[in-house]
Amino acid sequence: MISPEDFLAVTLTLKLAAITTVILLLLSTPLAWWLANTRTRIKPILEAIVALPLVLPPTVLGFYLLLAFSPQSPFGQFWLSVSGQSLAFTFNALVIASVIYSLPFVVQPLQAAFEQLSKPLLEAAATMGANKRDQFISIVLPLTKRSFITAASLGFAHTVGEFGVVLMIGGNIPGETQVLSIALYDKVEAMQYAEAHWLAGGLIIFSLVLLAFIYSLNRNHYLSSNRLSSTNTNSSNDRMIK
Amino acid sequence: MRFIKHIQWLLLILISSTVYAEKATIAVATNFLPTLKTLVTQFEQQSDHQIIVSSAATGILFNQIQHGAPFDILLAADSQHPQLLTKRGLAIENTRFTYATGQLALAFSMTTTLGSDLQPADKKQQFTDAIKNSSGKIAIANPELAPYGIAAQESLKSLNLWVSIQSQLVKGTNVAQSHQFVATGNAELAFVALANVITKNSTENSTPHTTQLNYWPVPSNWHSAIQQQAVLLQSATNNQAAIDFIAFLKTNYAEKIIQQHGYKTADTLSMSY
Repeated sequence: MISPEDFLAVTLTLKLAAITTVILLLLSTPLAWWLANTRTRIKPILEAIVALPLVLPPTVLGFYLLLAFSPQSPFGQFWLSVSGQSLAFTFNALVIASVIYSLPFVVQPLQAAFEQLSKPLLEAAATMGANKRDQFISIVLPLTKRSFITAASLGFAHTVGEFGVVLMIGGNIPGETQVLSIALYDKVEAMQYAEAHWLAGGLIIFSLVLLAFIYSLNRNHYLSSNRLSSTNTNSSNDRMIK
Repeated sequence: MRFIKHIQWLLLILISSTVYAEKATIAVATNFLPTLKTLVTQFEQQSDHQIIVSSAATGILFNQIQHGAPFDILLAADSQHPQLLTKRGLAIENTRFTYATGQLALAFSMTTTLGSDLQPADKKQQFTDAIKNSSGKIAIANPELAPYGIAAQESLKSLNLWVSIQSQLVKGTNVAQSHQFVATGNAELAFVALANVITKNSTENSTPHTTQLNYWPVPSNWHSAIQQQAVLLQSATNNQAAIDFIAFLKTNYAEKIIQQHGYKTADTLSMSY
């Protein structure tokens, strides 16, 4: 069965994923909006940087974060002087790593949605005196609501599934850095297969439910909606998920 | 005795290598990898056989072997896994032996005030003070997964410090990761394999990102022996390369190399008792 320590790992994982998702939504919305509307020549390079965590092995990120978090590095020194605590092996370190690691999963669906938005609609709103903030809240948000849910769900799920980076920078501290995937790895290594099944099976069911939720969201949208630009938005979301 | 060992080895080489050359795959616990590479180079110079090396944590290698990984020899970091393989019929009976006894060391940055000298008289006091005065993280290998982690835990318990340092403790999945935590400066102290620090200091200069480390060998009577055992796996039944390599591993020549890398062997053990 699930031991108290495993339960701690579950709650820690959910906490990490939730905090990461909130930070990612706050960061990614302006970034995705800017990427969707910019005409800068270096846009492909910026998009490539955002997409990097999709293709790089987590060990690359883990390696550089380990060096960056060290009190000998400028970043590690800065953190130490501000917070009085070194960064490696802390929950904060995992949040920073997860934000980087899951960034493309949140930015890309949002960017795709923003790119599909009807420009004339926003212009019309502007002529009627709606400022940027009004436009965003009354037009952009309602039209891209599903993409936000998709982005948040993917960011959340991907953070729950994080392993390699945490293995390298976590230090396996219960309640602080010992997330679900690490607890599972330990069980398999220690040949505690019964406990491993509980965690692994639980993760499969959780991920399946979450992904089915995202897909059903898009499907309903196809069937029911005839809103402006909606099908385009969603076909791009589908691509994101696949 | 030594002489006979040599003769045996030479005979084996003469007989086997002149007849045919074969390939053997060795699965090795990560801590022994650098040492094994040296051994393999020597072995291949003296024979026509070819050795392929695959390294991971002992537990992972064990799982892989259980699921049919094509290994001929396992050089584990403990004795339990080779024992279990023999019991389950995956390893050949009566081939299990201790090829090296691991030594534990406490590693720390050269920039700390701790010197490299260890006073023989009051080692206990020196270790206790160093650990008590540390404020940063203390890294060990995970005792649930790694034999070096168990040894570190036992040593800390023998110093009566295990309970008081819990909040400073970070655990690597193996002893190499414990070393990595202190080498990158993220941990203040780390219990590592003596082999980790010896090889590092002799083969590699410090890069801008890694700390030069000092270390104190941990007295071996503070913990139970880290017996690293080897075993011939079933696939090696007719593999002359694997059989020859095991014979090579038992020669004085190979034992010298193993000792130079920070391990004890049957020889040095009997001398120290």
